[in-house]
Amino acid sequence: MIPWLGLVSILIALGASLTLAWKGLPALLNRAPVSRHQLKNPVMWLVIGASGALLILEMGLLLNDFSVAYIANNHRAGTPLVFTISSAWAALEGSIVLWGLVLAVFIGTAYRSLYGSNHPLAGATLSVLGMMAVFWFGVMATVANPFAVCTAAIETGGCAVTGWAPWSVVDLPELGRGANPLLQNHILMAIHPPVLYAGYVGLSVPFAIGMASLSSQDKEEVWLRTTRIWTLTAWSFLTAGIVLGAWWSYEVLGWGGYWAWDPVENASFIPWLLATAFLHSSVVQIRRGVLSSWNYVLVIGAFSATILGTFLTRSGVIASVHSFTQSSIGPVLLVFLSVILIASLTLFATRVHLIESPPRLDSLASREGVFLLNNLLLTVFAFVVLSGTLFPLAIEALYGDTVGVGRPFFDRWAVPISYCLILAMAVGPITPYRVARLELLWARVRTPLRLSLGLTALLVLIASRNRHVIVVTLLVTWSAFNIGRHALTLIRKRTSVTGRRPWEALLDLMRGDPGYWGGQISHIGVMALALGIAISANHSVSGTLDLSQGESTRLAGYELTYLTPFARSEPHREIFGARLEVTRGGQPVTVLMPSLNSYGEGVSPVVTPAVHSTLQGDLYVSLTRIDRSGLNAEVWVYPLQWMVWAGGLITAAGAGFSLFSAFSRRKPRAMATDA
Amino acid sequence: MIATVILAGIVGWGLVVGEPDDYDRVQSLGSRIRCPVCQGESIADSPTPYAEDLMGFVEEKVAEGWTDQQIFDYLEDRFEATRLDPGFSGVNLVLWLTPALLVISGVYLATRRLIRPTGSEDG
Repeated sequence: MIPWLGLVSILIALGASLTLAWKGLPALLNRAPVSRHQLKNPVMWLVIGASGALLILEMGLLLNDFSVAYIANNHRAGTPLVFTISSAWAALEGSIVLWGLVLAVFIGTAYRSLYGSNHPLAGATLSVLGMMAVFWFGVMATVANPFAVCTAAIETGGCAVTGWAPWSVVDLPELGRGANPLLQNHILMAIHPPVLYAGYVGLSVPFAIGMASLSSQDKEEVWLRTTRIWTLTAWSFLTAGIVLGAWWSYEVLGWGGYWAWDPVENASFIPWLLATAFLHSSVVQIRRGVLSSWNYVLVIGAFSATILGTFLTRSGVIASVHSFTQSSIGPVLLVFLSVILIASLTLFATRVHLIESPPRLDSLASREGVFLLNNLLLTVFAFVVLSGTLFPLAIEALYGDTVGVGRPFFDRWAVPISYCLILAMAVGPITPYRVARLELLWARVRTPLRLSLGLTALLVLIASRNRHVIVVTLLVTWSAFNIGRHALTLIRKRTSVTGRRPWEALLDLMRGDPGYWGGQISHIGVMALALGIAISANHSVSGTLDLSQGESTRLAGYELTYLTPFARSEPHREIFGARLEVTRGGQPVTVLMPSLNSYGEGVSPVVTPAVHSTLQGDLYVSLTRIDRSGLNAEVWVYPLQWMVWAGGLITAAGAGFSLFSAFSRRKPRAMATDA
Repeated sequence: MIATVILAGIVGWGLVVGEPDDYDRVQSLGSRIRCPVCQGESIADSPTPYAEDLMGFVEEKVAEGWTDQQIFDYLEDRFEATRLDPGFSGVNLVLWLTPALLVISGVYLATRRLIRPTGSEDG
């Protein structure tokens, strides 16, 4: 029953996407306008079909319907509810179902909001989005059918051979294999993928509006402000998704870190960098009418990067070039990526002469100049991450050699680029447009610079002599004081005129220009993030434990005592761990319970670290061995680690503030004026 | 003004005497060699006994006056501990130098295509 219902849902969504793409085509080709009414049914059926597909997959998981190969291979009876639900996106086919639903929701929202504001590009945009939906639901209906049935079961659980057709003869597996243990170990697994997908998929909308604009020769540049709002939405999700992913990696993987420049992480970071560049460069176009062609390039680049990332992480090409043929979806994604790049760049090249703007800037010493610096840095950053990720593949394909491109390479570029970006962030928001006179700029930054020098000098004298920490502290505090001074000046003006209280004036101020102030909230998040990264990385202490029961050891001011081992049985796993008493200066701090979790025989146990987080920092313990004679563990102390997570989430929240206050005032255009 | 100079002096002094990020050649080499038994960590970062042994090895060879390349080659041949960063030679130069080219062309484009020539009064 489930295979039939599921496939029918997917086919409904596929049919609806085809209709949407087709009916919107006259608008895209600039032949005839397409009315709201004409697209209503396809959008509605697309949302129904896509929601149906995920609901039916979830139903299958809850009912333990192992006739569906995906369920047999990624689920096991008795898995706790939250991980049963998240199993729907724990592997390739299911994750595309979630992807399709997120896309359908974005299409539904775009339909309502674009037609609701009588946007001239509504029909053409929805046609492009329809084409994307055709691709994803087409993939689900063919090479990656999540509802394929099991035609040859494996005795120990799971499914060996699958049949695409729901009428295939089922060989019902008695047991499910269960999802990858790493994906059932932490609640963040239920949240991180949907949030990240909302970020990835959300970038389809800016791309679609950009294509619609190029195709329909949108001379008034109406695409730009709309695109900025949609990019901001997607960017907010993408930021939160990346931070949650890093957090998950830290809490679950037990290697003591959160970012490894791993290809999967890079794949999410490249579109983030390009979308960030667009959020800034679009302001230059809105304000000064330049960079119009560059903005199309960024929108195309950010979207293509999401598809490239999907290709890299889903095709198996990352492990080795030679595993390329093992996954049937890899080549399909590569073709899709090529079609997107060829189509969008061709369209861009044929229209670029219509959109190119004459040189209009007066000086590089201006807000525009800092925005250009920001764009140069972010683009180079994206290029470094992209080339570092692809270089090993290219070398292996061309020469058959293996070459490692890891942290030292990325850090060597990322650290100086980030310093320059923070510097741009410190002066940019308070630099005037057109031409910034140096005396004026100096008058604005003088006091903040003194304050930050004072704070940093204090840091040098009492806390840290680490060069990275000193530089980051100086830059970050300077940025913060610059924004603070700017806000204070404006608040004073308001209170003296209106007689309102300072905090009311601040709220008025922020609501009055949510684009700018939302941006500053995000900047504060980036400052906290930078400080958190610099301090936790450069002042961490690590060590190894080798203890038998009752023994103690000291590390970074903590005393750790191995109290007792423990074992616990849960429906989907066996937990073996140790109770470690932590004291500091004789005072009890906590009892940590790091463990090794076993998800059935034949699967190596998963290391589950125990983390004690305080405002001062984290104590992180990860078991490497536990048996009768004692335990081995790795221990890290990371000062101010929480600033990394908090900073990342504040960054995402800044965009949320801009969007929310802009929409709650029902004047969506006002928000795009500044950033 | 004097206070600013003094504060800047303290910060500058902190930067000069501050502990450098690469303590010495051993640490710097260690951070560029992949620990073969860990997840993408360098032998300098990983606290596992195996990585510590390899670090001891690097220390020994540095003391004996081996060159960086000799140490990299030796560790790769004997322990399959490959490098985490591509060497600055041969085809790898493409990877190291293209970002710099991008910066130069970006600066060129910005100054040539976006800045209005002095005297013209457009927009």
